[in-house]
Amino acid sequence: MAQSASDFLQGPSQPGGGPEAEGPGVVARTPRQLFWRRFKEDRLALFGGFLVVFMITVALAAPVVESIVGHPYDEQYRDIGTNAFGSPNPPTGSFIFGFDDLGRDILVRTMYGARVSLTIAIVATGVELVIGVFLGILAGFMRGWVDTIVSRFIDLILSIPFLLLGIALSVTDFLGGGEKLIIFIIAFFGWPYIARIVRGQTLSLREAQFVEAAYSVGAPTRWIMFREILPNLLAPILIYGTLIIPQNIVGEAALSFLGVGIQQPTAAWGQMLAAATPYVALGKAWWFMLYPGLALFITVLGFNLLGDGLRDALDPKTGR
Amino acid sequence: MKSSRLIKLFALLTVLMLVAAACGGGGSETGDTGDKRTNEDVTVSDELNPGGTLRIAGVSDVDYMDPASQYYTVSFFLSRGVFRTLVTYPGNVTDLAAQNELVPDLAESTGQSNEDFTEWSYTIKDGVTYGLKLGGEEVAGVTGEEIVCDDFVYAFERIFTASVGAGYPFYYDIIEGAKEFQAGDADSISGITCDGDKSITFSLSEPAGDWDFRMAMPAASPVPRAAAEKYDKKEDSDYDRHVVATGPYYIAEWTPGEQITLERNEYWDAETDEARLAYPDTVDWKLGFDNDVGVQKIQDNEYDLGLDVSPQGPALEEWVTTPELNERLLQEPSGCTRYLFLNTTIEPFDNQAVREAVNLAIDRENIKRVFGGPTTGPIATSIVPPGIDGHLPSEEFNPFETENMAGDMETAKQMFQEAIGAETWDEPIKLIGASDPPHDRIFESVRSDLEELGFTNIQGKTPKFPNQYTQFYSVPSSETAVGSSAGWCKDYQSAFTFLDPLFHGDNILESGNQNYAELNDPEMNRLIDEAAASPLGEEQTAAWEAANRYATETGVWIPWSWDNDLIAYSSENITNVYYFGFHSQVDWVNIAINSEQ
Repeated sequence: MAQSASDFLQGPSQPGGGPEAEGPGVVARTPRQLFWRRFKEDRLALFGGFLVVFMITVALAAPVVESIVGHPYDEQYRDIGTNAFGSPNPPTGSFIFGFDDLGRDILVRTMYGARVSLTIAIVATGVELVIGVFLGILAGFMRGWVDTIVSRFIDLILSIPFLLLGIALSVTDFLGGGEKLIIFIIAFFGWPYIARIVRGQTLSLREAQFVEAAYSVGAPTRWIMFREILPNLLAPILIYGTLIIPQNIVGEAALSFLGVGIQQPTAAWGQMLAAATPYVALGKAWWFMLYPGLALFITVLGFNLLGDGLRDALDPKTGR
Repeated sequence: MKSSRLIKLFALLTVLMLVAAACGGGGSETGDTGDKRTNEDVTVSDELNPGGTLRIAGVSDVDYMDPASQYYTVSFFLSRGVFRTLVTYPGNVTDLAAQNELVPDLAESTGQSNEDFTEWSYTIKDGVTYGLKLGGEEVAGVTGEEIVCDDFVYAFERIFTASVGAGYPFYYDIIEGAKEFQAGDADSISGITCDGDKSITFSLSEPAGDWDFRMAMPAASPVPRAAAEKYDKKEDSDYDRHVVATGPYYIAEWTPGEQITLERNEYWDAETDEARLAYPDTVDWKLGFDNDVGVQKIQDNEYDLGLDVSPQGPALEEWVTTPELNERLLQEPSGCTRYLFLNTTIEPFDNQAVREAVNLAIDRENIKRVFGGPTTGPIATSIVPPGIDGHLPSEEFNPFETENMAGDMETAKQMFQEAIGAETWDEPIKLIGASDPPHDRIFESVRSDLEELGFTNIQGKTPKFPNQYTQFYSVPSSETAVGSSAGWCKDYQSAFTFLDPLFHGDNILESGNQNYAELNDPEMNRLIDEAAASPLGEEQTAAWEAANRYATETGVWIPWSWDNDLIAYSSENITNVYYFGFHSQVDWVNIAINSEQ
């Protein structure tokens, strides 16, 4: 599957990718053009891309909006933010999303939450990709004992419970807690999936003719691994990378929901949802859960639609 | 595959949220709690129908079953029905002050003391006997036998025996010879003497006007040597699992963390007991509830009573603002103070002026609000809570008064900067709170105030409740500078139970420390010692008031709540429900089960 997808990305350098005889009404197209043609017809994917761009804009605009509305994200509006029982007060004219349980502006905090969510998810995804791709290629190409060690190590990691390790590490103050800890936990459990996929692809690619050709002209192993095989893996990496970003966003939300990592007064969606739960369970303070929940939903949906669209557009074998 | 499942999950979540949103009305706008139910609304009766099962929902288990080791509200609550003491708190009395007029229990009368309160004697009643042990077995030579003087002698020897791990030996170490016995220099405690089987005398090395109160605590209940000695001889006593009942109930089943079942003790003679009516035949006490779930079960009448289950946060708002529920919510002052503390061994809190500035800076009104508002009790302005000897009402004494107790940041900043000779304090300070609501909100409120005052390098930590105590506050080596989630409840109605363990310099311990602020002030120590030694009555009250004033003015505490206890119960299933000050709970041994149930 990825073999064919990568053929398209490789473009003119690949045998068979060169210019064909021009018949009447037949226009030669580069793989990029083919990809773009498919992608732009996929309305859902475009919508996903729009949502992603929207959330990134929200994240970038957070400080701007903060200064426009004049409510710092950590300012507690003690007189107007909570009622006599300490429950959050509903939206008003200048606090259009309402207040949280400490009387802070939910609009500004939700926007700042996007920064935390996206940063953590993207950085964690990057770390996962670097480790996963490197070890995956290594295992798939070297085979033998290297493959055994990497594969068993992956099995080992996948047998550790994700949330329990997270909670345990947050108690022991590992990496000083905070964003770094969350990125570590997510990346630690995420790279094995990528490594497995890359290893499988590499196993079949290393038998391909262009690899044999490179061998026969005396290319060194490192060259073959990273100059011949890696470019052919870009498509699956791109697809998988886009698809694990939303998973990582959910993972970040789950961890901060459980109180791991992000500490107040930093705003994180999971933490806001956790704080809102007891109120919403009793039918109170809907605004406290709705907005961070909606933001999480839009972000996850956007990345998922975009990722699905990329996969479809890059891989002609996938049915629609 | 995976991703499409995720989308569905989140679509579902959104729908649920929108439904919840549509159902939810606006919150109530005022803190007006309307009428609240107190003991004044309760009419008690001693002629109700016995029988039935009392169903209790609880969060935590007892700390120990062994009365010597028990030092926890949940355990004291259980002990009321299982272990009798020489004197005890009266039953079926709703007036909170009158509840502190102790009545004879196993003794024929309350303690008779000499003039300077250093010698106390009691005569044990005839016809009081031991019942079954935990699990429902008889103990040969104990069950059905009379309670005698030696059983008390043994109970106090146990308190000073290492294998037992007593909860509060400091109330009893003034018995002459107790320390020698503890050190192994004596075979018995010389200050406890028996005259025949039924007469017992305690000789004290210091005067104690409140001795009867100490004799009303579970650790002072008799323990038969024949039943306990073999367990106590082990390195770590496991009498815990073999306790013998003297009260109207014995422990039929104890599955730690899950279930406690109490059954009627047939060896208990109601004629000898003026404090306990013991209407129900059985107590079915289920443990391990999540607080909010427990509250819901009581609301639905599936359980009759919560023990350490109490409406909090949004649930409290619902109980108070719904008239039908508000009628089932008993509200009385609990004898507990919640406070922040400043550690006097850590700079800059060794400086009195800094502590005073922090006292002025902290917005206590907001802490109170995020804790649940005025329903949870008034804002504290000094250390000793209402209902306790030595308490000073806010109108009378409020050394750090600000408008609505919401803090005065301007004045505080000025004082702070003068005291430290700089604009800000940039050295790191450790602020320790707890992560569970409402403690997380309290932490944030405090952190934000301290930051505004000028602490630029606050290192915050919020472990899970109650780890802030066990890992930080009570361990001086943790170097906690400020604690935001501390609280203390009285053991009995004297300021001694606050000021001695929490403010006396002699009580700073390496571990298990309660003097979190590590205050060791000679004048403070002197005031506490003097008050403890003065005769019960006006003189002692005045001495405790002076000690309370001094302690508050040191500024090592920022007390912010004199808690109300909020006790939810099922008015459909049970009657004769009144607040019982000693337990900070209802007096369950006098509750009757409605016959329709």
